[in-house]
Amino acid sequence: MADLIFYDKAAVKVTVGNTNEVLLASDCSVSFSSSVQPLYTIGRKGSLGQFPSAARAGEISFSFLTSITGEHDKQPGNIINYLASGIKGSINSNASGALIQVAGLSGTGFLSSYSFNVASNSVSTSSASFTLFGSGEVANNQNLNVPISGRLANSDFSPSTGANPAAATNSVLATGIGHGRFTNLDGFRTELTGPTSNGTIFGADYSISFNHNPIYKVGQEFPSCTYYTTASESMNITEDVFNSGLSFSGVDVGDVMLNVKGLDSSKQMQVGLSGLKQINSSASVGLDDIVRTQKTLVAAY
Amino acid sequence: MFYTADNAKIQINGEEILASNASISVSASLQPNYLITERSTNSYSPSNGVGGSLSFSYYLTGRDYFKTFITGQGEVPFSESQTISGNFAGLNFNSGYLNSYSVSFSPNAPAIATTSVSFFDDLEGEFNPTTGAAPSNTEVLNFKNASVVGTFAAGEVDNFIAGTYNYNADVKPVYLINETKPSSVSFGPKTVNINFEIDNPTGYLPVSGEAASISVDLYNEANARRENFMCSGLIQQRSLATAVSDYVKQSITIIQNSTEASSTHIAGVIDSSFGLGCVGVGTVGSEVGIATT
Repeated sequence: MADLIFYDKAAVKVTVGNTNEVLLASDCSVSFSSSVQPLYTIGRKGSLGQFPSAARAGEISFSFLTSITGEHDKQPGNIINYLASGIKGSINSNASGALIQVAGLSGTGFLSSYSFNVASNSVSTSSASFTLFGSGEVANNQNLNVPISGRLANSDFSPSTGANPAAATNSVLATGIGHGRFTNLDGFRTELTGPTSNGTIFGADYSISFNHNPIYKVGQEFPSCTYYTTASESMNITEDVFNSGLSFSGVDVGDVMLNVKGLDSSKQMQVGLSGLKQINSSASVGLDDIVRTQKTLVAAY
Repeated sequence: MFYTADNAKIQINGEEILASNASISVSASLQPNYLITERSTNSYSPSNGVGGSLSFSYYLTGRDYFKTFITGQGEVPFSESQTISGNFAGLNFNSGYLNSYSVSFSPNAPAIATTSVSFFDDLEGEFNPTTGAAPSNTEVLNFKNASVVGTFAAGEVDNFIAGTYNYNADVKPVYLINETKPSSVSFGPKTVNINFEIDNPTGYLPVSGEAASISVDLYNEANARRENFMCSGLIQQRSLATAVSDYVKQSITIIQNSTEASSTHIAGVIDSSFGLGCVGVGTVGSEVGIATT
């Protein structure tokens, strides 16, 4: 019987370049798939068999507490936020990927989506998803090239906070988690004039998705290289003001800095959103509740 | 009564083809006979013989039978084997000739060839549906197990991304008086070209073209070479293209107008001490040998 790995031995470690962090993950899933399709011939019943039609690929996704006390290349916040900020701000197309390790499995993947939420009096949680294409780089051990390798085993990584793992005490971690108590989202509120009406923000959901383009060639299963192409960012704000003045070209919101703070309000994780536009307004109400409005802000990179 | 694809077997020269699709058409050439002062007519006369074409795509499983026609069709010595007989669900013809043949090289994709056979007689037989189970031990070649080697007069290519191999032949029927089925055919120019997306963007293309060759070997899972596609000629076209969210794609097209089964040229001259020697009578050196390819 295979060893049973309990969740406390399945820490998620992400390495980007020379920096790494063990995340405060609450769940993680790993999938590895090969693409085969049945081939059929005319004049005969049934398939000739199932044959590969595309390269193998993997996906690793996980949810984690939005830790903000880490620091990577002088940028406060967790390593996923650091990675997402770096990619969307990049003017280089070459993507090198991040090494993800969990429960003895590992692979180099490209961040495909990242999201987190902030709500009043609530702990902020994040989630991230990586796509793993493998690499066509020649290595002595061919297994190094596959998208996901390894076998289930304990991963005894201690939670760390980026550049200074030794500082990862429980007290630091407890105050270093994003929380709605001290996070101020007034920069995103709807402000109406004549008469003046400023929205009260109840919560926000942030997400960004990245597109990567792996380049496959004849005679090799895994891509020669992978390019980062575009990213689309969105933020759904829940508040109490409905803006009916939505224009044909959307409402310019401009550049806004989102500061996610923990219970120690001196620490914060920053997300810079550039060229935001409001593209949606909605209002809804249910029993025993106030009328709440939502708006969607989007940006593209 | 309707039938499914499972009931329509395709056979070429008596051999079953593992085709993924097929279509056959036959047409008669008729022209209306108009009388002076009339602008409508119900009278028609044939202006040419009956003919048609059979097109199909099939899986490459090993040595491709059709490739022998690329090098052999229309070449001396002529033989009966140059004629293709086809049978599509019972409808058959006997005087077919390979018109076109192409293979697309796509990463990690099953190898599929597409051919078109022209025939110059009418279809015989009747639609005869068949039943049978698919063979279970077929190995379809995949372009994951391929190697591409390119030789260029100038520049280097590190990566061959994807491409196509095409063969086209001009085959025309020769009718004698009183014939509706041609007694012979005339083979026109035959062309092989290969188009490949490569990784070195350049616009270099001299007016006389650039000598180049690309050879694609296909292997089975046991790593035994089962198929080869070779095109050796001149680069006659380069193209560069890109689009939003895509990378810059550089493609070359090599055209080969000689399709003999083999070509012999002096690749090198080796003297008795196995060194490269000199060529020609009167040159200084010992006995020489000629290496051929």
